[in-house]
Amino acid sequence: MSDAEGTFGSGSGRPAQDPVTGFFVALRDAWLAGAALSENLTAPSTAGGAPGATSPAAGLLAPMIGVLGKMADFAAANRQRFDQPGAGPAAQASPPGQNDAAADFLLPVGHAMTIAANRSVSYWLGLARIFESHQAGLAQVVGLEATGPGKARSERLVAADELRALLREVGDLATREARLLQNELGSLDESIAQNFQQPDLSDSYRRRWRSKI
Amino acid sequence: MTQLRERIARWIDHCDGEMREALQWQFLTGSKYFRPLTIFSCYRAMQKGPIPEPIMQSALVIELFHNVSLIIDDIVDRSPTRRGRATMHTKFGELSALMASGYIVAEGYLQLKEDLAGIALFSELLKRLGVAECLQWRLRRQPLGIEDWRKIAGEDTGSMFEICACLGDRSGRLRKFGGLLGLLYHGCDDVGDVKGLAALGGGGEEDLRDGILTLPAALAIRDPAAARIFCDPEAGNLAELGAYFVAKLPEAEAYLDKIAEEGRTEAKSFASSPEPLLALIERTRQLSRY
Repeated sequence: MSDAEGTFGSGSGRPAQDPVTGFFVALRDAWLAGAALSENLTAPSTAGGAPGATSPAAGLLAPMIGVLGKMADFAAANRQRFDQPGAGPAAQASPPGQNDAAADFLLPVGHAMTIAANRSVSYWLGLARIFESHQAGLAQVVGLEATGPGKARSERLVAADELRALLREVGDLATREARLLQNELGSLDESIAQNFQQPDLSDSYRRRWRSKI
Repeated sequence: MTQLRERIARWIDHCDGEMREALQWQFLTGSKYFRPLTIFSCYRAMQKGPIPEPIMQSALVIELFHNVSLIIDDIVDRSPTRRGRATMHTKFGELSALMASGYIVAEGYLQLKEDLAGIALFSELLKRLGVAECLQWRLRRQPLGIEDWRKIAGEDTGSMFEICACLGDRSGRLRKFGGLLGLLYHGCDDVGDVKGLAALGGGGEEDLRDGILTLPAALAIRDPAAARIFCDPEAGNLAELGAYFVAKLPEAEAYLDKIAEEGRTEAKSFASSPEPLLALIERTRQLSRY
């Protein structure tokens, strides 16, 4: 894996990382950990192979890790621009060069990945909270199953109600996080669209994205 | 709200003379205008500037449709009074009350004019309210739970406030918030009835007699003794059942606090300016705290 690590830019050594960069670095670390694990798992099958042969897992992961490293560097270099969604290519003239296209497309992709990761973490945390708050109820359900059908009908109804509440809350959480994801990606979508809007249009012709009433 | 009140008065003035007195009786006294307030608050939570005409129109029509649901409820429940005075069917007779209901619905759709999105939302509301009433009646006197109460209340008052939120916001983002607000309102109404409050119009005796699944009822009938009376009120003492409900009031209040918190989270997550929505939740939550 040392080869793969060598493909990275300067991302890992920053004293203070911005959120976007931190995200990419964290992703890279996760990938590295996964690759190391995969390498260990495949070690017996490759032990008999030619000395110095790269494992399939490492061979697959190395390029991906390289891309992430580049994206992290890029995000750090363009952080200021990234914070100003209204400052598009037309409004904020970047020096002409190869970074323009990357800034227009790679940064939003990075932003979208951050949004998705945040929603994912938020979902799992929410799920943990729900299970924590229903622990007693769940124990009751399991207890009733263990004692069999002899239990009073009223107790079974209460347990069923607890279980239904748990299922509803899990479903509500998933829907809520999906709606948040949709809203956040929608805002990003709008900021990309506005970046490409011609600057000389008068206000009355500006693109509107909220519904008309 | 003053503007809305004036619009309603103007509308009644232009109605057919045969209906006018009954409509004045129904509309020009004691309304809390909570549903129009929900529409305005949802608009304010998402948009800036003065309230536009279609939103004002929607507020008028929601008040019309809400009153239709009250007139029908009063007939079905055989309620002699509402808000401290005779109900429409008591004062003018069932025929007049039923005909006035149809007249108001037709007038509501006319008022919406070319607001197609509004028409779709009001149609959804009327259909859901009809289904909810049938569901609630079919499921009476059964030993159900809190989740069943949530489903029934969500389709009944919940659908009303869900539509209010959609009418005010028009993007659908606040639909869930509206549903939670409606659930909270319904629950506070249930608790208020058990507390014997006049603030929400009373009406707890009918629910007790008919075995309607209210929030305190759903909590109380977890006790098999309470469930027996609830399912067969002829055999038991309604006062005793009422005592079971009263004993569950603290638990019901705690559950309402939980719903209010869900509503706050929803408002903060999806509204551009959640303050009007948070105020709405506080105001609703106070309804059971008199």
